[in-house]
Amino acid sequence: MDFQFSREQDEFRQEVRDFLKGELPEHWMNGELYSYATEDEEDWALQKQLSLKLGGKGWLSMWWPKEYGGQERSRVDYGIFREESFYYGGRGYDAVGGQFVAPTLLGHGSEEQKRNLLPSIAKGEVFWCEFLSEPDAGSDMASLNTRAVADGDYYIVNGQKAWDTNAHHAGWSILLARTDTNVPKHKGLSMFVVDKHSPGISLVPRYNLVGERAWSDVFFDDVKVPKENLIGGENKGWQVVLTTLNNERSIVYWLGTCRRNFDNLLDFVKENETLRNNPVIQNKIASLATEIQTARLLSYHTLWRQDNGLDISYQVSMEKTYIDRLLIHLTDAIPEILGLYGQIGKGSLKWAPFDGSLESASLMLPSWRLANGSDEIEKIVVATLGLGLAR
Amino acid sequence: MDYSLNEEQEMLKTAARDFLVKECPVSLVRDMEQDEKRYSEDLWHKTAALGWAGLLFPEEYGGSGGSFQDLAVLLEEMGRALMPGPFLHTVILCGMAIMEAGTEEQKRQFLPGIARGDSVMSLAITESSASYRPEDIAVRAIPDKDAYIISGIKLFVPYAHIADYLICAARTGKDGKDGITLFLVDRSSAGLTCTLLDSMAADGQCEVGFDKVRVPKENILGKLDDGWGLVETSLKVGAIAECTLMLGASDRMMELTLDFVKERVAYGSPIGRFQVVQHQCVDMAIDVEAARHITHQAVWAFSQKLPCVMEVSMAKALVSESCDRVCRQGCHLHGALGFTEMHDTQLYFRRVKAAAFTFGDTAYHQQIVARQLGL
Repeated sequence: MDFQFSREQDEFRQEVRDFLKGELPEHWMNGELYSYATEDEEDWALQKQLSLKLGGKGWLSMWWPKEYGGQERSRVDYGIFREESFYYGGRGYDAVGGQFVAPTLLGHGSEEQKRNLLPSIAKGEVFWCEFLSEPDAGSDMASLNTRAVADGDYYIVNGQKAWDTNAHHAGWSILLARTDTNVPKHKGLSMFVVDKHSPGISLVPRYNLVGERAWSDVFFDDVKVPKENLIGGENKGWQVVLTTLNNERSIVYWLGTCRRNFDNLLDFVKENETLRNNPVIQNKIASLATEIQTARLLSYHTLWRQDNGLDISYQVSMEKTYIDRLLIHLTDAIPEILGLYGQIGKGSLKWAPFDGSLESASLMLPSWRLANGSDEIEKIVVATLGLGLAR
Repeated sequence: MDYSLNEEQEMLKTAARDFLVKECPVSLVRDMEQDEKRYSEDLWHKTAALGWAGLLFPEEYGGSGGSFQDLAVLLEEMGRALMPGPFLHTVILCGMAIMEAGTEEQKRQFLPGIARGDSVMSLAITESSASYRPEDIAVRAIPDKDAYIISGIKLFVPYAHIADYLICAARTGKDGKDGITLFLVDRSSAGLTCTLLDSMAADGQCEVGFDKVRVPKENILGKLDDGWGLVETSLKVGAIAECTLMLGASDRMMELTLDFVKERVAYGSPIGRFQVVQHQCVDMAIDVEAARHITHQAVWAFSQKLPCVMEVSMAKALVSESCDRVCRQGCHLHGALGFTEMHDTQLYFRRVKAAAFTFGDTAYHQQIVARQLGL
């Protein structure tokens, strides 16, 4: 057993922190939940520039094979980058491309697809999104209805996708669509990569309850997708998306968000004499710190398992479910500690602690329990794959 | 970073589990709850013969110079088997205190005996105040020529009734932590009385009365008036050990519960097929997994001799809650059966509940964590 990061890893963490501190304007450093949601063009242009710099550092492709632009370092190393990036709000970091799409392509893509698509992710040139969920297919994703029908050298796609994070900024997307309606629902799905600017794709914004463009609804109207964009073979989409989902559930980056919000809470307590001396608040803070450390051990455990070629099929769902609990405890602690200040958002910067980031977190952190697989779904995964309980 | 046991530790774990399945079945655990001694001398000697009792000690004192991590592997298995007896108190708390602070003579007098399984010892810290704070040590030791005279009452002293020696924390100087001395007290000393308490884990806790008990000066362990540092170390080690024991017991509780929900039929189906039951099982499994990692981190940090106040208190704060929850929920999923005397689940539930507040409960350790965070 060894629960210490190596000296090189500690130094790397510090390097990431120092770099981000040097690059990010002060008001971007509160660890907001939805930095990518911005509709401010200047803000996004800066994030795109930052993305290229992150790519230049090699941080977006740390664990991949060198032949696709990777560094062949460990998943744990990449986890350190992911955690620290999200500590400062994940600005300019395309988590979808790096964390979800890249492992999907590495696992199931053809040699040509890997050579064509991965280097631009590594360089931070392209942002990605995912066209997976639909209005009537969320947790029960295999019941989705978007059709892809073969037609010569193309598939013609029609249907509607929902809850698409960062679709308004993305250049490319993965797409899960139905290619066979005559087989059981899991067996008729195929995964594609799609140029988001293809004719026939249109977006409708979805705003979250604090007014950020967290998602888009995406409509497909006779969209032509070249056959060479099929990932993993026709009707093999379910196996492919399981890889995507397993990587989504590896949740070390959320830990950065939790840590940042916790550190803000701790600062608030330290600066307030009444709170500082209140044992109930002290124990609340201690309890959160303990949960964060435990979540961290669970997160790096899955990464360590991946680095050692061990199964993570249900371990990653345990990790995600544990963080889901932490999110709720953190959410509850925000108004408890901030009191009346807990309600002041970024529209009133004069009175908003930490630029309103905690107000927004207290409202939107609970929604993360639904992201990347709701905790109810994760529990089904653990029960069936991990505990041997039959469905 | 490495989350795995090394090869020897894996072997030790397997050997310990096999041994305890055979030699410490639940029937023995139940028998010992009714036995005045609260432990099996036979099992005690067998574990010593396997080298468990001397694992931590240097070879010159009859040990094998193992690490605390190795020992924790054993503790987890003992927790799993609910092994009755004073292993934690004799080997870990008293043994380590003597190793750390004993004179050469004291080490030779006590350590080989512990390693051979010939000696039982216990640490007498707590009193009727039921606290782990130094200001609450009220038992007095007054110098009298070449000896000290100890008077007062120690409470919640595990297995004192079968111990040969106690290590007793007594006040020799001023109030607070700078006036406390540790004494090695022969349990057969005149004026020393032991009364077994009816404690929930049936773990041999005693009230120990000191009525002008005379202890020779050379039986001071460590320095006069300077014993609290040793007590603090013992409290820390005790907290880690309790986490490890709780972890082992909860692991087993998880297995028992899964076995049960796969067998028990209601509405024509094993109840483990119902999502409401499955989700409770998953909550338990996650609690066990969380307890495992935070405990192993504390074990590792302590074993590496790193500063680990934060790691240990985080572990005890979390494990006390999560393992208690696991055992309570395990009983619940067994239906009313889980709360009967006849079913084994209650054995785990009672022990883990008691361990949860021994060496500091969640709130106690959260206060330590809060101080470490600068509050």
